[in-house]
Amino acid sequence: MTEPEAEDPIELPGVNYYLFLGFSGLVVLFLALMERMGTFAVVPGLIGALGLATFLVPRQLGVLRKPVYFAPIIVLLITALFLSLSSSFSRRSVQLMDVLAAPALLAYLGSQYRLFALGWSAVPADQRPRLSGPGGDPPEARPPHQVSTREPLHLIGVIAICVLAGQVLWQWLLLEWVIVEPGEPQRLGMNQSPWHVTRLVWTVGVGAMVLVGLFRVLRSYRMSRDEAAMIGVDTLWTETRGEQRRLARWIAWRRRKSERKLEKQT
Amino acid sequence: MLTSRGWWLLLTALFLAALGAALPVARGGTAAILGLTVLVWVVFEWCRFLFALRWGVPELHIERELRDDRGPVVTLWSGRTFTVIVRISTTSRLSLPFALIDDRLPFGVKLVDGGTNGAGQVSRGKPVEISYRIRCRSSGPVRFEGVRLRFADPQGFFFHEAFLRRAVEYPALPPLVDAEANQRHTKHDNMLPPPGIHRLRRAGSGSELLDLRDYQPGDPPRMIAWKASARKDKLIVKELENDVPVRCTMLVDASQAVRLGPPGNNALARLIEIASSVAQAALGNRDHVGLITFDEESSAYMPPSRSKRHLVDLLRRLSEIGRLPVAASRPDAESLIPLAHALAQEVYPDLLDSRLNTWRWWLPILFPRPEYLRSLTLGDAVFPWWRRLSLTEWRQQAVRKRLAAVLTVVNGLPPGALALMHEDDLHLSIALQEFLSMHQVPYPVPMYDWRGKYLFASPEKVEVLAAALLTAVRRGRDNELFVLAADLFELTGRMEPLRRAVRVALGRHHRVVLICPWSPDIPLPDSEELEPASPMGDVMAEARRALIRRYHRAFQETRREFGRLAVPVVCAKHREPVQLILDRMEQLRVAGIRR
Repeated sequence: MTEPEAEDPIELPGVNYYLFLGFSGLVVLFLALMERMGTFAVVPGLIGALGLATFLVPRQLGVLRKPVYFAPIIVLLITALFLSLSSSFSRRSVQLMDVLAAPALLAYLGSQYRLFALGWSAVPADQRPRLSGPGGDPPEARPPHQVSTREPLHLIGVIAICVLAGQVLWQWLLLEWVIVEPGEPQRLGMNQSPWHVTRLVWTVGVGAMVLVGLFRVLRSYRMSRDEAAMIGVDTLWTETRGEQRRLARWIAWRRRKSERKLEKQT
Repeated sequence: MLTSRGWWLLLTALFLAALGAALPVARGGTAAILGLTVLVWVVFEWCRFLFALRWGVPELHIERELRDDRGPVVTLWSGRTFTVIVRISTTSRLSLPFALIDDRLPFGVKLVDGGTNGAGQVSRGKPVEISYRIRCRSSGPVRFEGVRLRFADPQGFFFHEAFLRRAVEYPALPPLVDAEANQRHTKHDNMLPPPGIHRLRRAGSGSELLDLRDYQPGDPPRMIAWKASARKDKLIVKELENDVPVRCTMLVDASQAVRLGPPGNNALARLIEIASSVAQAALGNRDHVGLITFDEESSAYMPPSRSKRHLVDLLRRLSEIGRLPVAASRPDAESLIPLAHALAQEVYPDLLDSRLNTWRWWLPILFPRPEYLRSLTLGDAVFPWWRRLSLTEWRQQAVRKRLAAVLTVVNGLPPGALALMHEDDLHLSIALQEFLSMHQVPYPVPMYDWRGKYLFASPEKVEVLAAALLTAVRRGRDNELFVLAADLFELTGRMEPLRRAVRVALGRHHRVVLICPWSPDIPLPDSEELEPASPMGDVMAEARRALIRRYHRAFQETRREFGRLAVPVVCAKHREPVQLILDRMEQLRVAGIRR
């Protein structure tokens, strides 16, 4: 298991970067919601701060130092709910507050999840029984001293790309197709909302299929010798399992019969 | 691949995107944008993680180095401490995701210092290194399987486990003993020959006078005894004693009977420890030591020698037999499957992947295993259809098929082997036994058959031992010491071939000693430590008393049988047999003096 760190993670610069980024995201989110929701805008900020603040609890108060794993999900849902309740979204325009809310939320989510990985568990608990004992492996954290100074900068870059891609994807969903002549858009006889859902499902579905297919090709290209042998063995078994089963059972029956005969003779 | 954290975020993002798309644009636009942005982020991280993983893992390399205080070593010694350094590097330009690294500690090795795990991001030119110290508990090959890697993205959304299999075996030789401490210091005679020599009362080229005789043509002039010739008035020549080295040949039992028990703590380990100590002490005295290892089928002979190279070869041979697995002819598949499955999950996780190693859930329902291929229970008789619907049966069948496929690939078996192992318990259990023994995992073996007959008496080894002893006698030159280190307690009525061979050895003026391994938790025959009679009902205590009595009776019978031949029988519980053998060698050395 990973050795416990001698120093408090809060004293390490990597953790501080993420704390700063996470709190900054929450402040921007608060400002974005403040305009529309007034005092209620503080709710997601408080929940998010509660998730981040567990890292600020001193090591001596270990009882209070528990991860709030559902804080990011709750912040995301409440933010989306508040923005939807108060939204006056223009069909074609991109509003500044909405544009600010998305990167702020991503900054908070990214920081919070990375802090979870640094403080509590980077990999899930493995409950499979081991030869050395029945309990499996407890969850292990990522050593905080391994966070480089470039990591938060990379995260900011990724956030910018994702916000841009999210906006582009939304515009793509809103895109109306006019095939022959100006008039009613072509929606296969559907209203606007079902049409958007259908386009979303198709976009996500086709995108997932393409990506999974590409990675499957990459996997077969980078496959190890044992994995390739396993595919060969498994394919042969799948295609001829009926015949193999009959033959194997006959051989086993024959062996048992000859053994019994031998036992009777002796 | 996706962790629960990743699933929750992905599902929430999809929900928000779908909700936003389903609502009118003015109401749900913002929620949809947030959902889509988070979705894009998750997909982006997934692509990055998976691409780095697929591309980078085949490029990983492991370097393993074992060192002692003086530098790198290729051979280990039991009881000594070594440093293991594992370096994981990559030649790929692409950085791998963060990984938790765990080196799998071999069986029979104790972690002394440091940890077998590490963490880091492996990239080109920046290997991750783990260092720890181990101590070998017993002799035998030490097998390092490889390194377990658990990859995760920085957020903990994705997870992948891999095992870099780079199996490498190091021989762990028996412990180095203080050879000088085992040498006898008490002075028996004022005319002790030099180390490694004993005097044989036959004419030779030694330094002590044996006899005087008449001169014969061809005798060298320097052998003429001039004073005696002058007295007798004819030429008399001196005959000198023969100086020959002391030779000891150890016949070490490596049969199934002595392999029973935990590796490193069974009868074989005790015999090896004795043989190793005797060899080192005798070679320290410049005596010749040979070794014969035998089991139920064959024997291997190493002629006596006294070079350092011979000692290393002898210890290596002892190390090879040190971890020989016990193999039952009809192992129990039900007890081996959980062990083998746990091992396969650790070492072969890629081959157990359900995408490669498939299973159809409906097979046990449509084609259940027939009654003649499985052990029947009362439930089978009452509810014959129960097995078709039992979840346990489904799981067991899936595990059987997956393990059979792994065994087929690992052992390179022909295609039909998978189905044969899947259907027939005997084939599967024998393959599992070999699989576990290859990976040095201890496993249970049935000791009695259904009639209650003990399965590990190994009566065949008596013939093999007798043949090996006769071979050694045939190759022997003069008075030698033959040490039979064998478990013969279960064979008290079947030792006639061995007695004949011992008579031949004694007839040629050799000496024979029988060393029998003794279980550490059973009191010695002369110790009178038999536990008091237990109150009625304590079955286990009664069974133990019966076992001790049976053990003692077998020892007495063995001692009686060999006592008629003047062959001493010694229990190998402690280190006393070593001293006894060295005493016998000492007697051989001074035999020529005590006329």
